Amino acid sequence: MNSLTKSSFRYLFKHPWQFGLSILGIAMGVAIVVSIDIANYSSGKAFNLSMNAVAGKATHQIVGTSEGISDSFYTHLRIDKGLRNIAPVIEAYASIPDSNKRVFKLLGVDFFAERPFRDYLSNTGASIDGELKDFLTRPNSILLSKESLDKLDKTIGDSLNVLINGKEKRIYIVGTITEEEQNKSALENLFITDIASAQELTEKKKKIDYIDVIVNDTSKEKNILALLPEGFQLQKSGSRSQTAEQMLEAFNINLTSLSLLALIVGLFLIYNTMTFSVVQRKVLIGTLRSIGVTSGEISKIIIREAFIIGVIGTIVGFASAYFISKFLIVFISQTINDLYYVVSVREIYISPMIIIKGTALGIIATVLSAIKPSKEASSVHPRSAMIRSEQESSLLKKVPLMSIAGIVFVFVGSAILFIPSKNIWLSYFGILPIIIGFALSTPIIIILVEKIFSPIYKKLFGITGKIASRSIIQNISRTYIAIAALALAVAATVGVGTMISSFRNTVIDWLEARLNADVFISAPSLISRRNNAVLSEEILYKIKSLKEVTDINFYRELDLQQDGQSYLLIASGLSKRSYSGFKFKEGSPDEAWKKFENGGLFLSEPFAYKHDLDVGSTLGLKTDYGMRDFKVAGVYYDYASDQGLVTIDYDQFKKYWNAKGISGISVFVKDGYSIASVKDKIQALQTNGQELVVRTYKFLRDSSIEIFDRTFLIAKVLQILAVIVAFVGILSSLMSLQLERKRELGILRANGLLPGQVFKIVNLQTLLMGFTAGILALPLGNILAWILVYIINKRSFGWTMQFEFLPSIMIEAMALSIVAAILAGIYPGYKMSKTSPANALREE
Amino acid sequence: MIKYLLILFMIFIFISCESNEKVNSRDRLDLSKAMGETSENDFSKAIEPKKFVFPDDHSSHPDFRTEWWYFTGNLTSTDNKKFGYQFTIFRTAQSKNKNDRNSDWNSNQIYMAHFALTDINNNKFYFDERFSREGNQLAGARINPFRVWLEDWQIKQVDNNFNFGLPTLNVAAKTENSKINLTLEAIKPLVLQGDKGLSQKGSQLGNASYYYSYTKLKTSGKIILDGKEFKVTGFSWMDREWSTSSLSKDQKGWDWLSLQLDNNTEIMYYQMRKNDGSPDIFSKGVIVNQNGLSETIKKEDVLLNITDNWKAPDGTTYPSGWNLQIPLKNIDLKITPAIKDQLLDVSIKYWEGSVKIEGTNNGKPVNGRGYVELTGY
Repeated sequence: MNSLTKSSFRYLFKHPWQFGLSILGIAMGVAIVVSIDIANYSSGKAFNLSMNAVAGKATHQIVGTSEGISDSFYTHLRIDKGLRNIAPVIEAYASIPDSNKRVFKLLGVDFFAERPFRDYLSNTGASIDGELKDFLTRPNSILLSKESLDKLDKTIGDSLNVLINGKEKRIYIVGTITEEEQNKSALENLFITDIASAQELTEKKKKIDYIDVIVNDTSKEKNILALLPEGFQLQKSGSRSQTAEQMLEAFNINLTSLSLLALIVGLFLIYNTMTFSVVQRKVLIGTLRSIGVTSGEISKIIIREAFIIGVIGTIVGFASAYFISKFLIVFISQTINDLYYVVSVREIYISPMIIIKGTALGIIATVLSAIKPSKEASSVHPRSAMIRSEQESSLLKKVPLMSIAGIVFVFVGSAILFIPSKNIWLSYFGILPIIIGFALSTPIIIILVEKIFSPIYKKLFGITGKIASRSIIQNISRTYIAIAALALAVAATVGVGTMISSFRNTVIDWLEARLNADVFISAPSLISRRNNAVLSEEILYKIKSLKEVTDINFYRELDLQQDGQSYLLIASGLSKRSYSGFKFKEGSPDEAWKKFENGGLFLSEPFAYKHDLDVGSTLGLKTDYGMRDFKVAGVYYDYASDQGLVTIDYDQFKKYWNAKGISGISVFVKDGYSIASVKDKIQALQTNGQELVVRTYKFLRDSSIEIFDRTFLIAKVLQILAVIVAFVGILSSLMSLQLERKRELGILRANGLLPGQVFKIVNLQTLLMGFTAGILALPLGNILAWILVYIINKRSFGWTMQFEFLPSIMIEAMALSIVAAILAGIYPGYKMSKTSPANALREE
Repeated sequence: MIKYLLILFMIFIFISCESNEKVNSRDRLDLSKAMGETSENDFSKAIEPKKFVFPDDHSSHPDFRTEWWYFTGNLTSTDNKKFGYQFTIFRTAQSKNKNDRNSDWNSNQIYMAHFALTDINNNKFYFDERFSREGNQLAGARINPFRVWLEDWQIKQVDNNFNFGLPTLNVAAKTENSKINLTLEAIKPLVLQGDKGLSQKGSQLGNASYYYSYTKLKTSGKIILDGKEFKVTGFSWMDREWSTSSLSKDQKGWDWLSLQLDNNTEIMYYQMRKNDGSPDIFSKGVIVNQNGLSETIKKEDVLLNITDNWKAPDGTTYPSGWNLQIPLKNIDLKITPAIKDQLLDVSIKYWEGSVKIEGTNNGKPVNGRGYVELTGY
């Protein structure tokens, strides 16, 4: 080890706090980005694995009409058409009410057709234990993996009560399936049942959901296609996973960008740290330069230090990411289950890409952010390097230029944001120059704030106040970065907070307008925002005939899989009085409703946005009789689904689709009857085992808001994490700032300043820094919120929200920056006040 | 003719699986274990001779555990190429009665079918196996019109022409590269095997089957092999058997022969092999003369010697040449496989193949063709 390296290490070890905090900053930045990645990847992987376990080796699926495929069509293909590599499938979800609501996928198969499809059923490399005779002949018997059996704490022969499509069913465990080690997780959360049991459990009489197919060349594919009746499709196996991926795309991008925000804050911190370490060693560097060390060698030292910090920070970051991701997965999978589809994530998966990305961010970004400080260090003239004030005065000279550059950056950012595009990344990319612009304008703001507060501070706190406020400017090369980092973190809080509140209020207004009925009835659903289970039409008639009911609304939800996408079709049977619940983007509602009743479609705003459709456009839908074109009658505001909805009149729907059942019913209670008693009466209806979820307006409204809040929980968590990173940043920079002022404060102490006064100076100064950060954060935060509401959300999900300026969030933000700053100042203040002047004045 | 082994294999697979042991199906085929398995005992049993009713008895008897429709035949094409085929549909019941359930897929009957084709001139052997449940019309047996099918493999009545109680049949099956489509017409009367159709397999009561055969069916139709079509004619043999019996623990397998001689005589003989390789006392057969009159032959009437062996790729040695003598009838036949390798490497391996026959009957030279089945090796 040469003496230069030694000096570098000595420096790092002599400043363990600074060293440790830089590592912590990088670690946290990396941890957040990586843990979000892991959580996203794991939930995607879990979904794909369960999809693969279900699809097996099938290359395609024959998908039927909205009613599914009739048993006899399968037999026709197999016998009359001689198709061999086909297998019938019924899929459903079975939730276990008494076991943390665990959800299993119920897969109904014909054991005899399985051999080419699913390894775990074909006896090769896997084995089946248990009574297969029971599996075939005993109603409601299932097979599951040994691991699942253990987790459920059951043994072969036990029974289990589950909820399938809202009906309670008793299933019997007749055996276990064992898969080779590498495929084990695929069998998790899977119940395999005979196709006959599946029909009974799902009450699909004479129907199957789809037919798995193995077909490897296009000519055979065409032959199969030719055998399919109107309304049937031959779909590629992966298309369901793809649809799921598409659904989550916007959601994932937004999570990732939130995590990048944390990293940007982290980078500020690194830049900050490296700059400090250079500044602190100016004298040392000057000495080294004057004894002949070249500028290249100096710059190498700095870069190497950054590299070491980056590597350690990245390692620590990955380790923490592992734990944070476990916690994030819970939130993310909850949201996916609330909004998109059923997924159960029980394992953490890491891809090489995640590792590469995390490492690149942690190490390369650290090194890059050290380039400027290293250049500064190496380019200074040996003599001037020894003069501390040189640095500060040179920065002060640059302030006007920086401010102009800042304004230019903000303009560039705005210009990028206004480029008409649907690209979400471009929008985020536009935010970056705005943030940099603000950071560049920080010094001028500091100077302005100080100009105003210096006299006030002096008046309030005397000379200590004056010293406290002035020294912010004296050390502006360091204070401005700390202030900018804190301001950015707080602005992120303001931005995300304002966006969420704006969104929330918009949704509440919408919910109140839309849920304009008294009692709501549906089957229990596994996806909170959707109703994938249906009620029988008989229940609708029963409710309709209640004497307490005046008007009734109902709808049938249908998931159309077409062109590799999932279109959610809502067939609405609305009473006229509920028409007012729809708010249209444009045009006369009367005309829109008239067209709707005659077969026109209403599109929710996100759907219209995503598919570039407008009133008068044509949309092709996959009906039970093949593709049919429909005219768009109106585009309405809707926040129920970010995928968007297509609404059709129920009577019109019946012309094109044969799907039976009702997804949801809402009723108006006649004046003079109590809503609660009607709710009870409906709940008590004879429903043939069908469990009904009956909710009042208030309950449904509140639970919808609860889901909304749950959805944004993850954003809030990230917001808090960003603040923590910023806090670490400000702590680290203030600490080094104050520790560096040891000599200065030592002189003051030697001149008679009391320890308490030193403490006061430090804290008054950090208070003012916090306040300055707050001043900066408020406009930046609102700009970010505006961008999130009008650009990012619009581009990601396509919905219009009402932006709200929220004083409470502003006050909170200001409090947050001040409190963070004060907290960060306590330790250095205490430390400084305890240092004896003699020690402080001693040269290193 | 008996295929307990196959049936028991199916029962074994579907009813009793070895627990807590990772074994794949091929390792599971421990025959003695398979044979030792007993299932529910409430199935009907073949205890005493019954009155057969046709055509009803051509269809299935679901209250018995096992049943099969078995066809073999030797055919010659118009360009004098020789072929052999075997087509069998098996039925096995999981329970005597079918549960009343809310699904058409519901079934307590499982069907299995084997189809093999021997291209004698090219020394090639094709075979395939299928399984299906009875539910959703994927497999089954019906009467009026008569039809037994497993997906698109089937035996069906083609018209209302009955010969000796059997309608003219169409037998159709195919694999990826082979296909048969044959018309079969009985030209000799039905033969009730054993004691008026009750064929005792072991010493216990009910360890027997109902068993009848059509020993000669005129056959014509086409064979398609690797895209090439052959018009063929020849003779087939049909066996029908149903039971709820299982083999005794000391029985290991059997050698079964069905021989059609060119002097219009047919011989069936099966020799049950004990664990020590010696023939079991329950071995027996039948001989059908030119007029269609049949006579039972007992073990002690027959001398069956193995004259050659064939080693399968997996190392198992199968007999591959026999000398059959029935001194009382003055019959002495040399039986040789048409090709050596006619091993059906399916869920359970067995050798079943076309054979050619040379020899003498009452001092006169006779030739013939037939089928031999070898199990338990």
